[in-house]
Amino acid sequence: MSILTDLFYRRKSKKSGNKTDKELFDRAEVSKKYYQSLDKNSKCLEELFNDSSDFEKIEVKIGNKNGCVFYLGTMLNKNELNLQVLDSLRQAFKEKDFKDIEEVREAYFPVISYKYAKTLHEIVWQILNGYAVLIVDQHDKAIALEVGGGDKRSIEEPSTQTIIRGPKDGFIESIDTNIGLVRSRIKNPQLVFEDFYIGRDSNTKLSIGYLKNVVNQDILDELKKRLKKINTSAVLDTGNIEEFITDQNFTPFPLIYNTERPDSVSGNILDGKIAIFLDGTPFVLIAPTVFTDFFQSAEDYYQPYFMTSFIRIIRYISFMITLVLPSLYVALTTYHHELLPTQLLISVQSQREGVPFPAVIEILVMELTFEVLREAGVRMPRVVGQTLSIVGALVIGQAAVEAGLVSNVLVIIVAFSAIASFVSPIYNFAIAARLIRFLLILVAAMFGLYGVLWVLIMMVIHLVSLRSFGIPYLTPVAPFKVGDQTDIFVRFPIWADNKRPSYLMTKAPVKNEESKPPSPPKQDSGEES
Amino acid sequence: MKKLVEQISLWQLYIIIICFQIGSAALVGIGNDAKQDAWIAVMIATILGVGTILFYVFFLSKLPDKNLFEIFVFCFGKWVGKSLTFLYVIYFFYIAARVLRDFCELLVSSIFEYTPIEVIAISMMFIVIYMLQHGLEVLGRTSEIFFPYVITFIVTIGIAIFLSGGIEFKNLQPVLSEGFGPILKAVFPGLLTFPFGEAIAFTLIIPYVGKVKKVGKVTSAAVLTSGFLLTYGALVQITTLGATLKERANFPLLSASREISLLNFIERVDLVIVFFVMFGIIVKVTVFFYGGLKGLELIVNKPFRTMTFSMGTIIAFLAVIISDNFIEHIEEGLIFVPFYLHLPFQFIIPFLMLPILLWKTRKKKQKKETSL
Repeated sequence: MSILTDLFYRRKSKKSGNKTDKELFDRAEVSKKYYQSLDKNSKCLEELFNDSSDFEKIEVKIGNKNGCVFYLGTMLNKNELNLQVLDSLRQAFKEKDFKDIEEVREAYFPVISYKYAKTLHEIVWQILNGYAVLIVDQHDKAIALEVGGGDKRSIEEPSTQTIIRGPKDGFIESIDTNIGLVRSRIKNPQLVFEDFYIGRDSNTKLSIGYLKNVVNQDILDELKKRLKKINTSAVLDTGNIEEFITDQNFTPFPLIYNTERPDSVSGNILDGKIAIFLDGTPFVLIAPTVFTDFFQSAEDYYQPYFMTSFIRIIRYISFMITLVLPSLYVALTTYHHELLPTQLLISVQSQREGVPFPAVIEILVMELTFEVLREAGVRMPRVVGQTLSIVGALVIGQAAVEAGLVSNVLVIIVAFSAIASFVSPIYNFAIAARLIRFLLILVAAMFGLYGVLWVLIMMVIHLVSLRSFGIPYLTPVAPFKVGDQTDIFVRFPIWADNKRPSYLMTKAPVKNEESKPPSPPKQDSGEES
Repeated sequence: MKKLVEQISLWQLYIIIICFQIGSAALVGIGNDAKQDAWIAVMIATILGVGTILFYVFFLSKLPDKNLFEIFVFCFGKWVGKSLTFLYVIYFFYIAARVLRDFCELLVSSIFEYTPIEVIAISMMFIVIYMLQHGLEVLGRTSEIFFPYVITFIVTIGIAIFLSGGIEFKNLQPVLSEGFGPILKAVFPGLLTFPFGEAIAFTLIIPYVGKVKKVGKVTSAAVLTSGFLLTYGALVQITTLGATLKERANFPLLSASREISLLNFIERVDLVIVFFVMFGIIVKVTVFFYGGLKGLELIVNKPFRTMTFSMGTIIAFLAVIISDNFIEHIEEGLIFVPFYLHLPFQFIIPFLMLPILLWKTRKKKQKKETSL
């Protein structure tokens, strides 16, 4: 009975306070206790786990005493459990009187990694994390044994942010594997990971990783403060975390970068940024983020820098195309005919001759159609994917033109601006451009070019006022930082880009003290060798 | 997190001054009194403009961290200082409304023939209010984004007209045909007060610049740059249109850019130019509006952000009612404003204040020395 009231107390207090879940769990009376008697402990645990079907226990004999192994059958590999734990428990040592629990562990499990649990709370916590817990009668603590297991996806190539040249591994849903992928790239004891547990009901593990001798302490403290403030029932993806910790939610632009690529995360950590891993999702957040980050792909650093610079400029241009091309069409065909050269104007207008709608309706319909197609393409089962492209491209595109509903030029514009929106390496960044595009189309229909420019100026003012962890969003362009231009619109060769971004104000602003361009060996020294 | 202090960098100050000074000056014809020698007049005015801004920086440096209005209060006491401030507030608001009206007239005469100017005035003011609501830093950063476009366009216009064959260097001759008389007439008070003397509004921004020591150099460099660009603009206008046409045109830059015709593809770009002038106008209105708001802040002792919206509506309204038509607006701008508003507010009052300021700051120093 007392357990139930304690539990009730726990739930109630959780609702009111905004302390972390772990603290509240600690406060509950029941969890602090640990009974000498196995029976009592076992009864308590059973009650705590509410007789869940995957909560299992196996009774064993430890010397002359009774023992019991508790575990969640779904959280560990039962084969491993049999091999590592249960087999060794079947060994002899009969009638031997173990003095304390350490001796038990040394006798039975000399090689398995373990933890001691001194309270019921700790026991519950370890069981939930996939440990097998051995409780022996008349001893003052329990052993939690790491059996390993739980199923996870194997490491595969990421499905987003694909590249041609460069590492092909991607994060998976297990946080330990993800951290391992980063750790194996940065073999440095200064790389530190700190754990947080988020979510009242889900108790999800979150880990932030950074280089201790590089990271900006102010930003780190601020991030920790914001993480501690999160008060929610559950987090299932870093997307949830992102909304809790951004500086401002009222904006279509993402203020935190997300990636599935370990090389990208490692590169950012080395630059002095902070990575946020969450258990159960392959997407890792990187903070702080600036606008220009969204125009950079991991591959930029693996390909020749001339090509990279060219492609980056293409990315900026296609962002602008996504934004303004449809609205320019509306503005030019509705208000400013004189801006088009006569020949072009004639051909555009002659195509629009049979179209029964004004340009704005025409383009809104087509843009909406495209958005529907895109959404359907993402959600639709892969098997029927083929149908979509046929229906979308042929039926809607071509047939609409032939039926005289829309003009050819318009289909080109809609298609081009849609393709341009996919150029941004980060998917959720293009969403901002897609949303603002609709606003621009409407305003262009009402005010022409003046309206388009008006919205663009408002957008720039908005962008400029945004901050990501205190860093202005448009740094290093506005405020302009000369030193950071080596890796913004164009990429300088890797040996010339030897500084960390200055806007981060890291503890170690210089990455490579003496990096020099490669040069052929001198003539005379070459002769000798 | 560190406490957020509103501050703009030297580079931002440089950019804002340039955008500010070429804002509406590039649009309307300047130095018309000097006929084909207008460009010489602009060059001379630039030198004087550097002197003017150095003078403003000088008296600001006497009392660092204080803006013009706080210096008034310091020099003249609370009541006189505040009433002077109030006059300045009206002046700044009025000039902001005038600049806004310039742009409205431009849009109405070139694109939106049937649109009432209220629509343009209100929508432009909305941008200004939105920007100032975010503070001075955002003005600085927004300028950094648009600055390259504004400059590129002004420079490209000249090159494009040249390539289109519209430039006629004979239009510059005869140089100095009537001596320096007309040039001086153009410089004083016309060019000196508009655009260079209008830098008085920066006496409210300079105290927020991070590094105070280099302000003098940066501001004079900025005035020189904008003077150079304005000279370039005047040269383009004169060579393309000739002195007489330039004088007659309401917006000579626009008329000149109509000459552009490249590759049978780039034609009628005057529309595009209208839009690139837009940003200069926004900066100019914002700076004046900010100046006025700072004055109000001092008078009513409330943060200026609480007043941006209400005062912004007043400016939008003012822009519409200050004159009945464009001719009246220009006439006021050429005859009334330079003598009765620009001269006293830009030069006479600061000059009158200077001896008091010098005397008071010297006394303060002596006091400090004696107390030590």
